[in-house]
Amino acid sequence: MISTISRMLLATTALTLTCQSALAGEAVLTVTHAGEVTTLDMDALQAMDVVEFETSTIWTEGTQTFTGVSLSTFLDDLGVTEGNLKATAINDYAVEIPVSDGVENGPIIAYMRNGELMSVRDKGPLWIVYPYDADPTYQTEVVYSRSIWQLDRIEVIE
Amino acid sequence: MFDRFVTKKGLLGSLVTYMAVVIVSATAIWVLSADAREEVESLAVANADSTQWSLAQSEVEFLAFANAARAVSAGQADPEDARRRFDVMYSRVQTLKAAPAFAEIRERPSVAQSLRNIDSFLEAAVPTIDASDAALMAGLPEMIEAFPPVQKDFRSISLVGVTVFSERSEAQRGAVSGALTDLAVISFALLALLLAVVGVLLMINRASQRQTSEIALTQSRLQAIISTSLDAILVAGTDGRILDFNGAAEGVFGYSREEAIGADMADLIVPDHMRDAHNAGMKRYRQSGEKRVVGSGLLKLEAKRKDGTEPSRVYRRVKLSKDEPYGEEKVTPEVHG
Repeated sequence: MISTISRMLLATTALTLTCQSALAGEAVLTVTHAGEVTTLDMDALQAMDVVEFETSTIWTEGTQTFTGVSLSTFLDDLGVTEGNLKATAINDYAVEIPVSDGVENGPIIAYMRNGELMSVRDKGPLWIVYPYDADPTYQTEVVYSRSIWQLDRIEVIE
Repeated sequence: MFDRFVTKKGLLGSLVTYMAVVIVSATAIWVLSADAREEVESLAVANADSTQWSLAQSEVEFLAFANAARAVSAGQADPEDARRRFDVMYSRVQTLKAAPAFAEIRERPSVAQSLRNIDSFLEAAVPTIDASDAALMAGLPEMIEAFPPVQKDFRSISLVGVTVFSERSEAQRGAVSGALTDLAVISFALLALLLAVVGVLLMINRASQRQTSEIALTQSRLQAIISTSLDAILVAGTDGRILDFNGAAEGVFGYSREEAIGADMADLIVPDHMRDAHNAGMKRYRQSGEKRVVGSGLLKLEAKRKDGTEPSRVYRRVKLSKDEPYGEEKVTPEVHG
């Protein structure tokens, strides 16, 4: 639910006040849901259930380990069960992702690649990654187009 | 011409051959259609669209950075804008360098050269971009001067990409249409074969109909001969039951045809004192095939009429008909009255 995220956000803000980490307090994701705008920082995302998987991608060389929040967990927290997400990147690349894509063992909002946070130069800070290797149905143009990197905004369209 | 199909062995052999050909063709169709399905699926899974877009987008990202850099240099934008645009472009170049989808494009010498040029530009730019705002402002004019050749490199990579991707989709379309053509050819062949089989079966059917009518004709001729013969003719099976009894036989023995057919020959015409010998002879013949009376040509044997009296001058020729293999051995006592 959004309240969970808000609570995390409060906790994160409190944390930021004490430690001056530039990254910790910086909003990495802006979520718009039912007219309400919420921002999440890296700590808030990392506080959510962690999912990790290995897969190759068509944009990288070799197998990569991605760590992040399952899209399904993220949507559960938002309380979104249907509709679409409009995901937008730093360079304003935007794509609509159906909420139905948020399934168990499905896509994640990755914040780490091979155990390290991702800079913008490395497609970070957030990258929606599907387990392409685990499920061949994810090896399609449509899914590739939804695999948005340098993600910084998500809008829920119901 | 089709007689060989009518014989049992020939028909079986042909059937086996046809079944084998049909099975082989069906298997070929199955394999080829799986092949075609795979090709079509690989088109659906193809990663051409987004990679091609990604390629073209790298030039766009460079131009976006170039604009931001010029604006920042002119004091019209926040240095952070230029840094962000630089990072996005940088990320795109890393994708160009790493993505398996671009491997083929990277192999082109002109692309390899362009990528090296772009890389040197980025390497030279990173320290300036990562430096303080003041250092960035100081370094920008020199960087901006290097933009035009870099932009040309981005453009030339995109153009090579267009060529490579169109060649690739051409090859993919070729593979799909090749698979579909194979499928069509083998389907057509199977259809032609099945039509040929239908044709052959029709001819076999016609041949067997012709045979049937020939047999019927022969039978009716035989029937005509038997029924119009002046000699008495009696046809019996191995069990002694009378199968045919002609008009002359009616006159000689006094039984009507209706009475005689189906009755036991022994009861009808064999005199009482010879009955045991007759039955023993028939039994022996049935069991061992040993013939004494049967096939011995013209014999003078006694016979009796319906009223118990004996017809005068009875000669019996007992013959075995030729259709032995079918078990309908016919004993034909011919009575000359």
